Amino acid sequence: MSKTILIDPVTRIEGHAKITIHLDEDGQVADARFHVTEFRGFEKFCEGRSFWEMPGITARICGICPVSHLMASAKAGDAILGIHIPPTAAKLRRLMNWAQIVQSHALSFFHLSGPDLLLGMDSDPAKRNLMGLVEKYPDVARNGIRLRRFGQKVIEILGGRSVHPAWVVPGGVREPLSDENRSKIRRMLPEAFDIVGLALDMLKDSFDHFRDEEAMYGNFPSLYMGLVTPDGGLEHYDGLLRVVDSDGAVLEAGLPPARFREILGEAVEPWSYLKFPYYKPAAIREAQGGRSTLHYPAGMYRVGPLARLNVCDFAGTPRADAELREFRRLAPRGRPVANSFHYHYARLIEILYALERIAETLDDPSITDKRIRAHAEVNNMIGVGVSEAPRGTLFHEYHVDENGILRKVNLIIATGQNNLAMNRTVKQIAQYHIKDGKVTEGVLNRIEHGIRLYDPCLSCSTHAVGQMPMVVEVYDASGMLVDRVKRE
Amino acid sequence: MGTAVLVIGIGNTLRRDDGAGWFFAKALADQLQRAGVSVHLLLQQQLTPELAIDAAELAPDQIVFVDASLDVQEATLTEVTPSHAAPVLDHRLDAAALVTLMRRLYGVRAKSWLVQTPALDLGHGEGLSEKAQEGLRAAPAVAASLLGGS
Repeated sequence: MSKTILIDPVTRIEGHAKITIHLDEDGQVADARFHVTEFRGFEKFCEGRSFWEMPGITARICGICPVSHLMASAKAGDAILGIHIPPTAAKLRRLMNWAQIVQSHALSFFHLSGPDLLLGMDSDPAKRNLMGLVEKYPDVARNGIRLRRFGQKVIEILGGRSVHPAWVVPGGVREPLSDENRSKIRRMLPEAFDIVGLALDMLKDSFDHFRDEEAMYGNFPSLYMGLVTPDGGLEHYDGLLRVVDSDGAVLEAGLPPARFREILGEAVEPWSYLKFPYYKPAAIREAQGGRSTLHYPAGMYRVGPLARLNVCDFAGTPRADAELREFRRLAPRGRPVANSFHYHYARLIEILYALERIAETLDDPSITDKRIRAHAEVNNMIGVGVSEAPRGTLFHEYHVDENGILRKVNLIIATGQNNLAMNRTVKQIAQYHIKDGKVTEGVLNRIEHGIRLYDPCLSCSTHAVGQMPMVVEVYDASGMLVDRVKRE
Repeated sequence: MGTAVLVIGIGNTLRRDDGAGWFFAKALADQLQRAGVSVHLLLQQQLTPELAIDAAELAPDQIVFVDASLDVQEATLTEVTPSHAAPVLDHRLDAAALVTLMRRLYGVRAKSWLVQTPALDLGHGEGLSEKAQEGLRAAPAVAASLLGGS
């Protein structure tokens, strides 16, 4: 008797989603789907507005990663203006983007995944959460808060406020960095370095406890995409798109991001509002008669911290490069780290990298220069802005009229690009743990954790309405509900 | 003199009535300041853990969270008690969970309140529905309740 197991929604991720697991006649997992059931619609909402407003508007898509949207939006604006922003403005934007990486990764690692890692996957779900962490490991919880606050404070110092700073604008930034504020940020750095050092030790110490998870949590071949510097270094703000495959072969060495349409397609599924981007050259094949056929979901790729570390040749800072060498020993020589469980490790390496880059940039004498904004009128009808958000590559594509009024807006967000991989991860975990259709609390915990590896931020693509308990429902082939488990 | 009242408005002004939390929080802060109370106002899209440090540093006597709600017909004021049960944690916290963090990690003992102001339309756009605007008129009464210590 075939059955469908419904898990609705996944806790501790932004937005509202559910998981269904489809069993075959023998009660084994045949397929799994990560559904996104609410639609956000910011793209339509933005049509008719001026592109000048877009950084401020799109920053409000998400309360967690507003800076990512600010960056991509302002860069799309730069492209519409047809300008190169002043070098100091670019450095200041990078500072804010690194601060964003720190605060977002800190929240993901310490407060969303920390309970699973420190309290254990099989621990009581009523306590396997932030409150349980606070109870048992208050110092870890405090460290997470301090590190996140570091990032938020840097954003606030630069932008005037930590949520929705209107400081990043097409053409550059609004205000220069003062010597006093540079000193303020410098003073906060040592504690942030200490915390990420402790977190790296804590995570690496835990690896022995999670050998199963390491082997089964999204451990499959896929492509990886991210920005790199022109010489192949780790990049979060600008640079070129690179794609590598599961053997480490470089499929795209350095595509200018504005040409992303040449390599990325977007599929839709009737059961999810989240789009399913794919790498076109791997999904579209020539058929007989010269016609092309789509072989999606071939072309699945991953983005975000794991992917960024897999596509770059080096990080470019001493401590992050040392960690990157250790990270790469997790995979056979020359091949990418394929296991999504190591998104955690990649996040911590990126925090370390971001802190090193912040420190280095603050030492740059030009960082307090006052020339921070270029001015121009509309010179291009299409503008593409690309940056690396904490969760992965973020694309803003704007089509405007001669007055700069938006006629079409397309946002490709990181969570969407990891959609196929998240589905594959859930399926892999379910196949490993669910035998004969039996679902236990431990299985649910692990499926949830599998999703959280990607730290999906569904409010970037959907509207979060309230919070609900998790419900697991089992249906037989005729659609009859045969089991139901609810987790408050 | 320290902050007597920390007011935290929650919402998104580009989601119509979801912005009512901010507008109500501003109006409430204004009322309290007119009454001579030292107020610190924070406007947030969502509650996040580091607000616990802000509360610890500001050391207020009272904390007032203000949020729009589809579930109330008029503005309500209820005391927030720490939640020892597991919060369903997304990237955001609810007021009870944040109060728990404040108390357990930073020793914040301020009496905490949640104002829920009515919302009807959470669609894209700016401006409030009539119902949400009507709800804002309760700000003076809520301020009076807080000043009265109830």
